[in-house]
Amino acid sequence: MRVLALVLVSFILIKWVIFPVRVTGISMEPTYPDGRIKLVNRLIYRYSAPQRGDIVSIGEYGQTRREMYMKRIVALPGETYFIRDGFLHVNGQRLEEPYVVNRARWQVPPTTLGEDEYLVIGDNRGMHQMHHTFGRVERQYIVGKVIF
Amino acid sequence: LKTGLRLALLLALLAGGFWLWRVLFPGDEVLIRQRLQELAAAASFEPNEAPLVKVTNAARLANFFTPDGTVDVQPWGYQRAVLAGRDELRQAAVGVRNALASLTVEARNVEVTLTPETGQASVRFTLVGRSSRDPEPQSQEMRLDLRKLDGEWFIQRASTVEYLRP
Repeated sequence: MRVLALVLVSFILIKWVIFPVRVTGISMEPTYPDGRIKLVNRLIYRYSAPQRGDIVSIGEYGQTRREMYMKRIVALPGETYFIRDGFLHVNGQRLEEPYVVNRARWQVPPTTLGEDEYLVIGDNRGMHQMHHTFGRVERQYIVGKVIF
Repeated sequence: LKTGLRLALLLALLAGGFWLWRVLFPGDEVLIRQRLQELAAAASFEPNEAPLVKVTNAARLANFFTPDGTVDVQPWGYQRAVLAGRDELRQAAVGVRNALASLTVEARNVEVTLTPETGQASVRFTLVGRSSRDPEPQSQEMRLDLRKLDGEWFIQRASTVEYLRP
């Protein structure tokens, strides 16, 4: 009986609450190295809004397993951001980002996020800007928060 | 025992017949999935492809599309590209082969939605590309709209699905 309950709880958790993802690529280094397995909580943003600093998976949770982006939220809806020489500024203030170790000289002009938009970037800013996928994402495409 | 054996044989025969039927007459979804794998193979190329092979393979790639087929894509870091018709597609395929030393393309997480009454289908998948230019694999969500012509599936429109905007 206990085994059955355990199997049932595990099934419910994996199906509707938590799902595993494997990190592919180097854009979240050094926080998450290539190949690391992480768990994503799908329900967390049903009850609270995504916060700055959250690492999230982005995409769609479809019938099949999908590739998703894994990025960090660095600016929130309505905020204005720009990147100058690799340093991110939000609402005129330079954002402290202790998770960024290497920094290439990225340049992004000032942009204001919409009411439903978040700015997401990977932690590996030592990459060339052209090789790093980042940008604005609508909340509907934020699937969940990486928990561990 | 005899009855049991006969029943088992009958079941095995039925299973074998069903398998053979599926192999000889694959359903539309199976055909589309096969077509997608062939497309990925046609889009991939090794370094030092001979010029004639380059042109032939580019033409093969264009022939996966309907004569009026279109491509409307904007992968991350690139400008939007809109192509219409097999000639433009062929030229673009040759252009990619000239620009990159090698490319490996895979279609993952394929989801097929059929509309049998209109002879159309749409496919969502993740395109994963490894090229000589990028240090890590690039993935891109894609959507294909297909049409069945003379029993064969062709791509009418290929487009990117965007989650992140610059």
